[in-house]
Amino acid sequence: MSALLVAASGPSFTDHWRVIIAVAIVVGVATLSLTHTSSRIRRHRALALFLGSGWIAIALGVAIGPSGLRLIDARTLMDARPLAMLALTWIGLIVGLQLRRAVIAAIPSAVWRTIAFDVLATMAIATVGWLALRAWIDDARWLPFAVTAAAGGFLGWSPETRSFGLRSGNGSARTFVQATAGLAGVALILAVAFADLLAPTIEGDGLRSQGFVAAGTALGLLAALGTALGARVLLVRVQRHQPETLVVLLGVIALLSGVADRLDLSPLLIGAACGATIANCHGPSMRDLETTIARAEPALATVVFVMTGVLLHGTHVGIALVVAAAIVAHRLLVKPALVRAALGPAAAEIDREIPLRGVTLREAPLALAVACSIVLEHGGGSTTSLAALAIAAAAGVILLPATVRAAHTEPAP
Amino acid sequence: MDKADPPAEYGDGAYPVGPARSAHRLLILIARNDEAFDPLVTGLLDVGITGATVLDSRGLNALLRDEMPIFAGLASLLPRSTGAKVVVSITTADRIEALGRFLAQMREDLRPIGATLPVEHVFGLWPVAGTEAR
Amino acid sequence: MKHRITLILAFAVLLGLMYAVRLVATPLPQIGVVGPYDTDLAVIGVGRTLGFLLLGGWILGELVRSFGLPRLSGYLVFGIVFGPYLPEILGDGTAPLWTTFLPSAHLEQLRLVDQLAIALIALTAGSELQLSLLKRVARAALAVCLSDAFAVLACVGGFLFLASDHLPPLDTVGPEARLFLCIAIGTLMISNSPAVVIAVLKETKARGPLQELTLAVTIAKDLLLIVATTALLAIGVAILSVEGDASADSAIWSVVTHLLGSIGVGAAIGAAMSLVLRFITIRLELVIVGLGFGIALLSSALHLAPLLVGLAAGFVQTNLWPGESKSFFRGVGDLMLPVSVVFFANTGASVDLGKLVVVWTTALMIAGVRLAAVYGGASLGARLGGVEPQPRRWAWTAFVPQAGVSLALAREFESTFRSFGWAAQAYVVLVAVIAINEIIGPPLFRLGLARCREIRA
Repeated sequence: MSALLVAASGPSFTDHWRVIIAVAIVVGVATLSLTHTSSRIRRHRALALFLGSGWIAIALGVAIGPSGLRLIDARTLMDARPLAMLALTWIGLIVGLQLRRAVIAAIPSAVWRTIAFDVLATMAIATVGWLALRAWIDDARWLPFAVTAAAGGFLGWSPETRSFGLRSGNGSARTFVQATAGLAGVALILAVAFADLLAPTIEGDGLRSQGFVAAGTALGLLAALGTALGARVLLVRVQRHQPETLVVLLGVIALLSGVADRLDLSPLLIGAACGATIANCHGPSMRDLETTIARAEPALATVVFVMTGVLLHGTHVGIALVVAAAIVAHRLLVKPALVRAALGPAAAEIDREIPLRGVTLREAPLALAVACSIVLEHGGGSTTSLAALAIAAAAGVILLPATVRAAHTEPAP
Repeated sequence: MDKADPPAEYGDGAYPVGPARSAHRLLILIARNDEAFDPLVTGLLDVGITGATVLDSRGLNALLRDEMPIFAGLASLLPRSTGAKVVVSITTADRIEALGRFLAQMREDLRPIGATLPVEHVFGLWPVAGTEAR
Repeated sequence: MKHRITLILAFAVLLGLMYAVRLVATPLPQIGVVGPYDTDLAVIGVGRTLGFLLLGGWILGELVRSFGLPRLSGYLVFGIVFGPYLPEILGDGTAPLWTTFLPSAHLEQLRLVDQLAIALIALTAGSELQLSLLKRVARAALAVCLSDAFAVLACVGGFLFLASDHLPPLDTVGPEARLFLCIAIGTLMISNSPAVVIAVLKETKARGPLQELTLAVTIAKDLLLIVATTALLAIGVAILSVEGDASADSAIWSVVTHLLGSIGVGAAIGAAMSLVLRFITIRLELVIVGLGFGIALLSSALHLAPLLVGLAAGFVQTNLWPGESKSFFRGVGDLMLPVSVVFFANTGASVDLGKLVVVWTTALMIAGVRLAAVYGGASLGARLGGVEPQPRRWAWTAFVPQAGVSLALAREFESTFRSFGWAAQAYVVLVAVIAINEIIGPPLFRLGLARCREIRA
């Protein structure tokens, strides 16, 4: 009788049991995040704040992960790694899709200045942190990557503005907050790629020479460009019905995630390069592709949050707390001053609509995605960096109401 | 269709107001993008609907996406419209039927979403498109 | 022509990319990954293999479609050419580089998609089975199913028995085992591929008497085979004195629980889904993927046939709650394309060319006899069932393709009688015959649908 069972289920089915359960949980939660009920709930100001930070999904990840119920253990995680790479490539695509020529041209100079200040400050912090840790931790290949992951916590901020009570519309403060957060995301992905290029030389790593990483990065970017253009040509030829769009989209994302994985590159970088190419290819077929890609954003965010929770295993809690405290302190005390310096007199205007300290307090969800990709690629101490980011994100949510209240009561600068 | 009645009851001729004929319909169509809008305009003209109002619009999902960005915020710099367009017109039932036949021949992914409603009164538009020539 | 050139160029670019990545990437064993999560090297770059299967298979499918062949054949050929078995017949050192583009370890990982494919195919088949259709074609379907099954069993079994003195491995076994082996191979040859039938029907958007008949016969055959193979294995175990606990009683009991259990669980899933779909109206793709894996998981846990479970679920949904299930099945249809590409390309990659080459004469003879039997049996059944002349003439084309179900049955047969020397040899022959039918089946079926003017895409 088992003949027919085997007939339909294949011989290696039981090997995949755990992966299926893990994927079913993640897919189930991700599906919930896409329902209209979820959209409705997130329109509530307080709930937007709590759900937007993803702490529920992170907690779920911890609960089902190796630190909790062990429903997903290290082996399951290993088997599900390609799916994680796929999700990260997709997020890269979403980030890249922003980079339409018209959008880049429309970025106000204030946003560019703010990003420049932010990137310089983050680089300074990362360099100091790296030098300090290097003196303390000897010969750890993962150190530059762990520092890069932690640095993501200092850069940019969350683009979500609804929890400040801003309605839909085109207010200048809302545009500034969201545009800066979007550009910071791009800067973060580029910074990781840059660190990846530098890391082998810094560590004197024999396995991954600088030339190899450079060649791999070039090839990865070329693959991103080629697949995006190829997708355009193919979709035009098949008159872009929904199933064909799905095949091309999944094919491109899978291929790029695999290329990134095989060449040891960040899937976010390769995805972003492909997304930027798609965004700048004109034509209705590409718009369909863009919509399909962008629609999955809440589900992918949930996947990243759950993944963060699952990966929080074997971390050094003490170090994570110190780094998280540093991130929160930077965001509360230093970053508002940086933004004010970058904006000049315009800062007061924005401050009236949204308290800048509140804006800078909350970490960008993309930082978690970047850290997850680093953990999956390089492991080691990067897990502690990821934990620090998760703690800082939670602290940001807890401190925000008080910060906003304080900002409203203190006299205008 | 009968010859249109003069708007004696409500209007003075300068601002024509009158009861609609039973065959009058309010037509609302939503084209998802420019590619879908272009053949729709052709179809409207082909069936004789020569007057309509076109509004730039965006879907609720697009609005929700922009309202609560998670990874990508630069989209806030984009123009609000997503290329979707709403066409509103008051016309006659026979033209709506003809339009239905035209839409059925359109490529499936380009067909607009739409609805028609019976009209009670018509303001500022007389004779209603479609009745003048009868 | 321009369309073909575009596809060929796209395919060339894809191959170039795969080659370049291979050239630049470090050899896998050097990448020691990662801290607390020791990554199995087999999963590194699975995405690339999946992407290559999806894009490459799909492009080749579109290309063969432009020549009037089913896209499915393109997916299969893609899998065969780029799969891991080609080096076996070309010999080491002469195999082209592309044979490394689809590593066996990655393909094994991607077998996960098979579960989803089976569930989606079954759901689709179930959703097509309107009660009115069943009433309409029940008589014809039963006649064709029984006539085809009997013809194949008699012809293939008879041919093997008559030629058994000259055909390995039959020439080496005793008379009892010889007779059993002839009947067993004959029975296994009855099976055809529901997956291929549904995929070709979906791809061609076929509607008409042949499509209706094919659908009903395929499902009737599936039920018949559950009974036949269980009985066959039980008889074989008894007469050949294979060690085990199989008895006639337990075999009957397991058939009953298997059939009724699968149908019952499937119906319950269908009813539950209709309820759930009242609340979930968006992003159905994720719900469908979840349901697909759910059916596979539940079937495995309860020892049921996923094909029947999905079939019953689709049948219940479409017949009892047609309103709620409409958008659901449209979503299933949208997902079918990517899932089919991966499923059939992977199936193609598992065609064991090495085995086919070794026993190709025997395999070709059996395939030829089966083809003739299917032609005669199905045509006669269609005549007896009162099918219209045109579909009657072409009904046989639907029952030629064989694939996953047939392979799994062969595998079960081999594992049951592993203690006998002939089992392995018979398995090789069976696999070779299935490979031949897998390749020639889809174009034949498409031809049949075209001749009956039922193709709408």
